[in-house]
Amino acid sequence: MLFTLMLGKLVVKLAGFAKKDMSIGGKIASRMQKDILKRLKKKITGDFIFIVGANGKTTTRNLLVDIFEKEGFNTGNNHHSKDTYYGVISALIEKTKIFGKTKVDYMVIEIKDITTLSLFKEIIPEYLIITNLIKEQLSRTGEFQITIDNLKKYLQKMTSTTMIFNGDDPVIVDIGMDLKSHVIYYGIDDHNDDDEPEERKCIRCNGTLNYSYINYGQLGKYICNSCDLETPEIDYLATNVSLKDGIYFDLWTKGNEYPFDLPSQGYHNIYNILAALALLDELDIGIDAGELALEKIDIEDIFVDTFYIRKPIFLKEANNISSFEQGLETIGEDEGKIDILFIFDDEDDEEEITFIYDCDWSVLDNINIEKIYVSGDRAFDLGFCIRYLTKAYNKLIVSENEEMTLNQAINGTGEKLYIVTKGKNDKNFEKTLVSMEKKWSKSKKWTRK
Amino acid sequence: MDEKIIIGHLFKEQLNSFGDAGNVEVLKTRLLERNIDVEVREYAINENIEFDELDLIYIGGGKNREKRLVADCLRDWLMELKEYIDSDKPLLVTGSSLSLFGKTVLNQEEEIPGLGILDFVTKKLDEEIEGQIVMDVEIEGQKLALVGYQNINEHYIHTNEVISKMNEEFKEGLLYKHFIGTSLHGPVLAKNKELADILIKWACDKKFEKFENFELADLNDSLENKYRKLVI
Repeated sequence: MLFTLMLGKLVVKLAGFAKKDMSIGGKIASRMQKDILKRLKKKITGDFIFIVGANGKTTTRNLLVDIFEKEGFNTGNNHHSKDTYYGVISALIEKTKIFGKTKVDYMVIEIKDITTLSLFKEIIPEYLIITNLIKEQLSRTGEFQITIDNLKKYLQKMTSTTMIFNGDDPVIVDIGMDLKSHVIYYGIDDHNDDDEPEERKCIRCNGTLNYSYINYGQLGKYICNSCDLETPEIDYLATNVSLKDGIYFDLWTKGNEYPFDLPSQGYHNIYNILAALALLDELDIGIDAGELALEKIDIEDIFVDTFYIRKPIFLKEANNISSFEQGLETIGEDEGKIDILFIFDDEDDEEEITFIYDCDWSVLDNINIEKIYVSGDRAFDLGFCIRYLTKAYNKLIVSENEEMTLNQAINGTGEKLYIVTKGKNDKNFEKTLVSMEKKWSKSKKWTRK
Repeated sequence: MDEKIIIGHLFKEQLNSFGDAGNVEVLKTRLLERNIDVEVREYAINENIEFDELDLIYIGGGKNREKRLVADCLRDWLMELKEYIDSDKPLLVTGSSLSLFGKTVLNQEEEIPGLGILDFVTKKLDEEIEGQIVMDVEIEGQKLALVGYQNINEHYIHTNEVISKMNEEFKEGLLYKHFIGTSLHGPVLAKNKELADILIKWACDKKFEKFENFELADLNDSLENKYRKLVI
């Protein structure tokens, strides 16, 4: 074990210096020591918090780590390594001291792929957060029901773990109902007069699941007409939600009300915040401490990078249906005159790209769009979506030349430009924008002289 | 036109692996752009399907478990489905769901009985066929090139018309009356407006029999024309 740990640490460090994938350290260590995870867990004192789900994992993890650090706790996480099986091992190796026990307060681990839950065979966390199990997204990585059955199987063995579950997701609640462990639910009460009831198939009994409203995906308020699946009693409930100029909501828990007014955006982030707050309260750190910390934290915005080249430019990578829909939703909230540029270049991934047909494009129907530019290897796939799923076909400009299209979009008549990218060139694209921004800002200085 | 075309989208929840629902959006848009009113009815498993009211049916592709659920449900509708197809109404099946309509699916381990609505047998291939494809096709005398993506591990043995004869061993798809089954999957019609218009024409001819020489108006297809110039 000693040698494995030393070698693992060395490889992780070297990979870090070389800016390579650090999970290679975990892979090597795992080959040398089969039960490495079990041993690492024994060497690290403190609570392990695992986060799984279709999306929201990274934001929830980052929120928790930021809050823990602001509160002065010694915290570990897998931010630098990948969130795969070997990535988790690398993260633990990185944090573990070679000799003696390693003292951390909290180890926050995000698990990327819900189909690779095998690490639960070796490591049982003290806390487990499930953000959501959005069917459309999980179906793309394997048969949905098989994935859920596997998850159930593992979770039923984790009797000592405190589960923090999204109660608005019937797929998660179906799992929670059969667990012997302590389950805590968070959710959003977003009932209003415009709600349209909807029927879906019940995951538990195949009967009819009646929704009084749906927030997004399958998340909402529901009750089955033939079995006992229904929205559970929510322990951490957000009410009076407003997204005007930030995120506002009232949190109700244990008979107390806590108003939140945060400088962030995105409906989905309320769920991420609730998951974090529920955990903080369960750890006795308290809601108030969380609230103070959250006000100072820059929650991951939907459009992560912003630039200024002639106009504000917002850039987002969208690698799956949820992040793409979140991007569309944010664009759909813009009240100004805008241009949009989609650049997708997954040349070999014909099937993966088809998620764009399952997205709700109607959010673009009532906004002031000047032009929609599409480019990259998948320009036409995006073009066909705009042709058939929006009312903006007459505003569409298709070109496979990314550089030319980017210049066209920047010089377009919109007051702002939203750029959504997916594919192998994401990072290069970001660099291009950084360099264009520098050049533009220099040229402005020169002009002023 | 005072009547509308009713599109039945069957089992969208189960059979929508790769944006298949986009096909219904294509049909809907191309009807609306021609000022033909359209209603889309989505049917879930165990729901009552009003086959006699539908003018065009679409069934997408799915994974094996979902297909089994759908097959179990369709067994209750065999007579109605057969009547629908025999009455020359259009039905499009994409992806691997075509195998549902045949007699048997043969693979190395077992024989799975199909619905037996159409006379063919599905045989599993040893290797998957995957990739972008362009096929020359003739449907009711109309020649067209179908563009799409295949990812299948089965082929169909039958004496019906095929969409395309890839080689001696492998025949693509099946044509029977106005039933079109193709192994191309996902939003096939988005890139194949001619196929979409064939289905629309069949549906309109049947529904609006009183309008003789019913012709579909041309649409602004500059995007697809540009795309096809690049790939064909």
